[in-house]
Amino acid sequence: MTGLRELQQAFGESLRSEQAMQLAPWICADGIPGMRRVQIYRNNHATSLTEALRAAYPVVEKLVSEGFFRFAAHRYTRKFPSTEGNLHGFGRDFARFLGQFPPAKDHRYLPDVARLEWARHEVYHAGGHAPMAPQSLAAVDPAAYESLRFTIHPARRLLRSPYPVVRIWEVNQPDWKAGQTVDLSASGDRVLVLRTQGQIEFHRLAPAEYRFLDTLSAGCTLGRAAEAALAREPDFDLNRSLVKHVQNHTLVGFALA
Amino acid sequence: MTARCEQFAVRSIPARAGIGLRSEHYQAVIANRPQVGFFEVHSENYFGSGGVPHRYLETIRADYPLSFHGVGMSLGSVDPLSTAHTRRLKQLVDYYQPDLISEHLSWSSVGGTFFNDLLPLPYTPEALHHVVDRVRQIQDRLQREILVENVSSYLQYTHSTIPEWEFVNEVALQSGCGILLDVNNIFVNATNHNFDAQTYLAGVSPQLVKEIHLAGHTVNEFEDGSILIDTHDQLVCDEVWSLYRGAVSRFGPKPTLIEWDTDLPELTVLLEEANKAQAVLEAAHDRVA
Amino acid sequence: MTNTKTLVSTAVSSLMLLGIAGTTVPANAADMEKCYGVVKAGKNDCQTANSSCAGTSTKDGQKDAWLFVPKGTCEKLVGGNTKAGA
Repeated sequence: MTGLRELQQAFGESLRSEQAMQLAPWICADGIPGMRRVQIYRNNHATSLTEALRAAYPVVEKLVSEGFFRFAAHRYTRKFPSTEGNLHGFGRDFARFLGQFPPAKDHRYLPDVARLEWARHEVYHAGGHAPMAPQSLAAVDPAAYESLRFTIHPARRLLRSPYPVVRIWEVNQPDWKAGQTVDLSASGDRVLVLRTQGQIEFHRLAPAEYRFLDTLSAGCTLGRAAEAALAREPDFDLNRSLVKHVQNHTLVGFALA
Repeated sequence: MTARCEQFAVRSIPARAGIGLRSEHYQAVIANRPQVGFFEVHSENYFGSGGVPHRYLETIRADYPLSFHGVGMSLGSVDPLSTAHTRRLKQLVDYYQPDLISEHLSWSSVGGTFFNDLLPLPYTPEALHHVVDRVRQIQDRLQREILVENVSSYLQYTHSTIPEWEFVNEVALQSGCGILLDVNNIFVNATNHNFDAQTYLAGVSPQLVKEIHLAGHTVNEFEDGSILIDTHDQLVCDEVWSLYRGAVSRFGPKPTLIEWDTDLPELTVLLEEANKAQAVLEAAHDRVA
Repeated sequence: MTNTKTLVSTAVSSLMLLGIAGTTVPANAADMEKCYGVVKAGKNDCQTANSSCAGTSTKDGQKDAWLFVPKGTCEKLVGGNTKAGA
């Protein structure tokens, strides 16, 4: 398969770099030069992946403008090439990339806004899960309650930022009517991203409640999560938090051990 | 997507006009239940485990014939077929039981890097042999017949020795798959590469054509000439409608899809385009009757 | 900690009561939204990455130098020390 393999490798090089000329001898030059034709494919390739990023990160795009976003997307694609025919996972490293992207260094909140948008994207596509049947807890020995570990619904993500990322996200929505000014010195956000009935929501959480869920989602026991939350806030309402997150189907199963 | 057995069943897709199903139109489709012959989705858009896209597709699939159109299989690549990709596609096929499954006669990855674009194959005996083998592998893994679609191209290779129509026809004949004939892509390539579109139609065996695609394209002007780009962002042009009528009289009425991907208009615009195709199909049905 | 043990025991017992009452949304859901700040973050028709089989007719605009500076609504974010080294 030497011919086809060599051709595809040369084509790939030409898409990655405008300097690559290995493909030139393979292309008919009838009227329009071969490398101008290859440029069409470079554009298709860049646009296809940029559009995938734009769909997942509309707020980041609005914050930095379309032109800068395209520039960043282009660099991102070079650093983290697509490795699948399915584009759902493409862009998973964009927040990390933005954090190390010198032209964006004066906008330190950008990676966190990107993280929020990626959480939203993942929750959009995540699978479902039946709610917990709390009656089945009756089979658990009360002495073992502290050792319970909970399963988190697949369409839930937790995220915290020192910046008011939810507010930043909100004011950059197409239907937002009020002013766009955001005070970055306002307190940061702790967010539960969830999907209910096909609708995605951001729930702001109090610090102790966030720590409670975060500890549970790390696979720790209920006792450990309760202690962590109480250490953060001695008045933490464990009863209310546990009931709330079973009711909103964030905690969907349990196991002992 | 929840695992329920035998919820959907493969039906024979009608020789009617259908439209692509895009997320922007989910709610309009559910609310209006438009009269279309079928919906076609890009298979990869449902590769997620569940969530919003599957919620809608399950509802829509219950009421309409469905076609799965793959854009990311990288059929013609020399890289091994992605097991993860074919396995996920198989799960989706088993669950939704689409009436048609298609892939593009192109490649999009090499050395593990995906360009997520439909790149042209050289039309050589080597490439033909390779693609025939790949189609067989896919059909084996899916346990279903697939259709392969001819793509638009913006360059030709110096070492191609087989006319495109012959290549497409041979892939289907030798591998036992069907052909999804994109009439707009034939027009685009005939213009870009200076051949007669009628010769193309005459070179394709009627019994192999199982579906037809129609779409709009864009003319890109360069200082030394123009190239047609398959942009799927506008109405089907008059020349392509005329070529389509020729195709329907040669191949008979076939399920026909209006494709629109970029600058997506209101659902009604797609439905009006589908009605135009439907009129051509009905005229052909009348002639057959 | 005995305190934690008691709290955990009460909370799990409340859950079991919930099972008997059914898992409907409580009447104070609206209050919860107010307290915790629920933001509707995606309608059913929201955009998602679409795998496409279309080409593009737009030309590549990478070479414009002005693109290298973020110039969107980020200018409306004020206050706080976000600058590197600040």
